[in-house]
Amino acid sequence: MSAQALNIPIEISPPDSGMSAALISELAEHLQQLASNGTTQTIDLTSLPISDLERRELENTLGRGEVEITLDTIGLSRIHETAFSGIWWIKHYSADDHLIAEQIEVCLVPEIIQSHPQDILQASRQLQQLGREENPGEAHD
Amino acid sequence: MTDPDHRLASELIRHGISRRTFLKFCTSMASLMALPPAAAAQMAEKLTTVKRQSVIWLSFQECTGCTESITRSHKPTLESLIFDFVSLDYHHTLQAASGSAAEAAREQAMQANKGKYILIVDGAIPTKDDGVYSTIAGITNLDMLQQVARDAAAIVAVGTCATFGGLPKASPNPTGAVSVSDIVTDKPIINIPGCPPIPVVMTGVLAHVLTFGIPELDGLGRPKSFYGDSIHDRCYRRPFYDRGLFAKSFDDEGARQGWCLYELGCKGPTTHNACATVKWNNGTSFPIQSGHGCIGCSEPDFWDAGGFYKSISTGIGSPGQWAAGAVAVGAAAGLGSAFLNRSTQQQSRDQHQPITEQDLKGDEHE
Repeated sequence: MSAQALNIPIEISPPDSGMSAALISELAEHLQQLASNGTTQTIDLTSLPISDLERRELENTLGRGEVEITLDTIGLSRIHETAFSGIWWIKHYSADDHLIAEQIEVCLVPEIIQSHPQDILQASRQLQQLGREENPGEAHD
Repeated sequence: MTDPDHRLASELIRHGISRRTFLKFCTSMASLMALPPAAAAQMAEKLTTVKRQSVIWLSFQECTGCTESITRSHKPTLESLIFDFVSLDYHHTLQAASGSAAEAAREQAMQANKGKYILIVDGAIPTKDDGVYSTIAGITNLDMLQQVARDAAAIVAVGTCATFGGLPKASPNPTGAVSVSDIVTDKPIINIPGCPPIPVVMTGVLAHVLTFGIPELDGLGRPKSFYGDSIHDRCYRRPFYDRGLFAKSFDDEGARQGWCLYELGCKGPTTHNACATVKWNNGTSFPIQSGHGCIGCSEPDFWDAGGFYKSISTGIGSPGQWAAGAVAVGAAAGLGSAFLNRSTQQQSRDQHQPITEQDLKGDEHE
């Protein structure tokens, strides 16, 4: 057995599925809906029959806008607005940096970014509690 | 600040798990199951309003590989969050309690959540000689399954042993091992086969059960979202099959070029599972990607399907199915098992096919 490393080409480059072009016209339709009546839409790229290569090409075509957001919750989520206002690209990673979900959201701000009313309520209680602890005298005024 | 309903959301938030983490978990689960994207938000909303689901996990004639699979993670992962969404009231490998305290916990959970708890089973159930071949706390697996199934809302059979009898049922099936669905016929049963099943497939199905109820199942009780396609349908080597390019042995030029492993016994075409898309070890690889054919571990009687290195085209499946049929008929007819045993043992000896060097080399050197 020679010590020479075997070259095992196990990745094959898939043919163009045409999904990318279809997604662009679908996004145009969604964006028009968002502009006219505020309807938001999400496209789940993970479950579409689209190759990684085509996905990256679509991402490049849509480009980068002004906003980039990193969410840190059991692994990172990287979110950016594309060059087309209202179209957001969302990548969720696991704790060990594997891409676990990839979506395009057509919206004003992605849902996961917005603070949840229940979380706000909880935070408000905590802050009031903190205020009482910091200023123990005020409660008796 | 206490929540009288003990709703799951409030509990988790107190443990520092935010709603964004919820939503991320639900997004990854919905995506995995190819649910509509809007389902993620609905799932998150449901999880925040339900009470923690009581789960009783029974391990019977098994190797603990299924539990290893679902718990195997070295750091907190999104999948492991599923353990925060349920109250695992009994699992004899994972729980701290042992002996009579453990059994008391099971009985208490059954009483407190009568008709509402989910029963998860891994392992086959030995039925021969009144089920004496596997007991827990002196109770046979057969009795325990019947007791606990009685007041369960639904049953999830995890792994090929619980779903189809698996390895314990392999010919000549010395313990008379059967699947959960052979014993329990009046409850909804979800089958999650695989030896072991893919961890995220287990958590995905559980998340679905907790939020939307029982997912759509195929003819063998498997969730269509994970078992709807064959390995072959979604295999990245499929284009080589279509072009008639096959590896003829494990070290020939075709194998090095990554050609189709069909002629080396790959069971991908007859096996339904998500390995080719979800993959293993956090999406790193799956057997075919590392150069070995699929052994068909999520299908009934895979162990008896005529040899892992025999091509499907040479015929698969007869010995296991024959033996299983004989056991079923024998049990139904109340036959003495001695005769049946002798005949299945002989059958098994006759059909025993050791793997030879020739099998691994394939046709090339014949």
